[in-house]
Amino acid sequence: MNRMLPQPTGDLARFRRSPDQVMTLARMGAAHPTRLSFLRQLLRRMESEGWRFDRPLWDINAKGVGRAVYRAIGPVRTYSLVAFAHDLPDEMRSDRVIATAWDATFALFDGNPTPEDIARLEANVPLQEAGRITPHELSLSRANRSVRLFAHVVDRLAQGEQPDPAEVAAVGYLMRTTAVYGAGKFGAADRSIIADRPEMAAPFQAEMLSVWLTRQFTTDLVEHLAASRGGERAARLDPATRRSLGVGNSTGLGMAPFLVRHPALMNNWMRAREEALARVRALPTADADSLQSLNAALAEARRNAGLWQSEHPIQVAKLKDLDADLDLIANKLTNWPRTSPYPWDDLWHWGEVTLTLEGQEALLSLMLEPHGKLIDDLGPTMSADEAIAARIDGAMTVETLRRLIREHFRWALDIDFRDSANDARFWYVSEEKLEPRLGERHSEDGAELEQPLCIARLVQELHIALQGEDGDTTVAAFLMRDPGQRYAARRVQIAEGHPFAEVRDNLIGKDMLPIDLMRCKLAFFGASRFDPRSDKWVRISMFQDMPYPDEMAGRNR
Amino acid sequence: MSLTEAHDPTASATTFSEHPVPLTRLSRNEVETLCLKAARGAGMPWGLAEEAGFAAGWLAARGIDGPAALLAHLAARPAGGGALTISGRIWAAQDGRALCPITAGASLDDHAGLPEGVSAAPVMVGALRHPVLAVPHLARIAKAINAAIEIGWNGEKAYISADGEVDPAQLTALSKLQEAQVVLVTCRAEHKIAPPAPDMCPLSAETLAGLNALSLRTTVPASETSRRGAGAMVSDND
Repeated sequence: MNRMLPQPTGDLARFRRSPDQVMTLARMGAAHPTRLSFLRQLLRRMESEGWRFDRPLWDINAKGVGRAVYRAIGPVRTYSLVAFAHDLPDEMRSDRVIATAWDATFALFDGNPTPEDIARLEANVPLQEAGRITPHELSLSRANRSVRLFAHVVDRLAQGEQPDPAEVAAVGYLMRTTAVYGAGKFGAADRSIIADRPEMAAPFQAEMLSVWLTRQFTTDLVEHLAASRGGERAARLDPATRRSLGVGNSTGLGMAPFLVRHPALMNNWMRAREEALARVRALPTADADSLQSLNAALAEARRNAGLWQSEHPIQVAKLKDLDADLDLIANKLTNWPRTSPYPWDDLWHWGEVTLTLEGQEALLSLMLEPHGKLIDDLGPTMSADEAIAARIDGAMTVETLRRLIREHFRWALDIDFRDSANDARFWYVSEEKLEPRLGERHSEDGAELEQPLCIARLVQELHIALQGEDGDTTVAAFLMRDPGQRYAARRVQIAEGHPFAEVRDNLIGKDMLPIDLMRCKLAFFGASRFDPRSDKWVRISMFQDMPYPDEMAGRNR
Repeated sequence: MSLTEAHDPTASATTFSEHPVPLTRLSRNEVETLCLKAARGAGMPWGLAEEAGFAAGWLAARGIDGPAALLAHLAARPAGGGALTISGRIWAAQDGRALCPITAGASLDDHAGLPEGVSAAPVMVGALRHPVLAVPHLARIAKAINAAIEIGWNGEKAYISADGEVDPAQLTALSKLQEAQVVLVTCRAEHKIAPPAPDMCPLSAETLAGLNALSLRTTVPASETSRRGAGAMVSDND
């Protein structure tokens, strides 16, 4: 049925949040997945386009060793997850990058792999970083079992019983991926090769597809092992239990700098989400359908919060905030909407003065949920055509560059880096693992090899370097004399037109929490159950409570 | 290596182990990232190192071994060298030596729409090292100003179309030059050149090893503190 869709009224500008408000570490570290999150976009598209899924190869023995292929068949193209299952002794199981063996390894193949393709992948994919893949592959990944839950599920199913719901809830997944590499890593296809395909237009769609098919593989594998062991007696997972299982993911400090290294991309993620919120806030009505949908989303959020566990003190406090805030929202909805020109905006303002950051960002996610028709078109705008060195506008004058700094980097100029607490850390790449780490500037060596991730300080230095310059000087002439400022000048020029390009916080401060950056990125992926194991390392779950390929509408049609 | 150390599961970088194969095909993303790090490791400021990554990736995507040219350039690049001076229509190095093609290319690009730049009048670039490394920026200029650019050297010519592509044979000829004075002239866009088939120039083991060695100079040796602080402190066998 096509009912008339309420449209936002008035100038959206007054409903938009400012980058100063949105881009703080504390708020980014309270981000929740929304319907614009990348895995939600993937599932919506596959459902609406009637994608089909099958498993043309399942060659796995009773020990769980072998290979399998899962296909996702879209209206134009087919993508295949090629999976290799291994027999990994416990003492070799590590989520760390130093690991050299995993319980399972995967590549997402672009098309239908031939036996020769599978043989080629079998020689490389199990090696992960030590192997090479080709432009026929879109991602490379690996996963380790959740030892406890995996064994428990196989045991129970083999005996013809279902797993203990408490055990399932405590972990939430059978395997966790420890890295999902895409976009040209290890020889895979560059982003540019797939960027103009509609189904790959939104960010990370290949990676999301790979993880979603991996989830199917994990449940197939436990059922296969249970059947091998229990024979006729073995049970299959009941659909509700199966639904509650996602794919876990372990992620470390390596992910944290991503958002800083991709300013235009981060801007587009943030801008789409903020535009969605503004559109909803500008709606003149809250009709019965959207009210019902909002309440359903709230019920789901409360259920999810109840299952969300962490032992990390920071996350424990945040979960407490979230629980209390969801109660407040539930209470608020009993007498909302009142007669008002902008009921959703009223709800938002109420949240801003009443809720913690956790609750405010959860409210954002809830408010977007009923409004797919209004906001889902923003999904594909979240990509960015990023070049490694965006072109500098050399004709810009120094005066204009200074104005851009004042407009977009006030927050950066306000940080006092002479205070040793404010430059306490430095980002570097470790020689032994080639991965980002954080050092203590005042007690460790290596600060001279600092990565350019503290944009605030770099822009401050640029600002000082510009002070002696004549305002009419061109940026081209300035950079010819002072090429060391080229990096910061580029960032400042990117900020014009990309107001959400920068984390507006000190990324080298004493109390900076890398997990705040990770939570923001993972929320955009659509990850749930954010569970820090330290301030630099987290586990999360993906696709929990979402359909499986065989449950998608369009299957076998 | 003990597995009971801190957990830090995500690698940020491709590690190229000693492959037994003579040639390795890197994606453009890998070429750009590796060359950025190598340029930085060789002492370029970050912003120019990014330009070096762009240049090498652009060339490799056109079947030209830009990474090898960059490595050759970086290996002999004088420390702190490359400062430019413009006098009239002549661009040259302040110290009188041959110019860094990355610095020159990026600066020509910065000046594209300005009176000193190629769109205003012909430019002579005094001796330029590995001139092919400046071509990606010239191609970017051609696209930006929507005009073809002719590169002249030693009586020879190469033509960059207004959509920023170069004839493969002419690009190959440019790639053979160690050093040359070049003259840049905008000209009427006469013919189009098809963009390259998406295939990357494979890298030799020597090029890969050389670029890796330079890029390692951007890394910090591990300390016990950094290892400990890198991740969670619990087992993954749970």
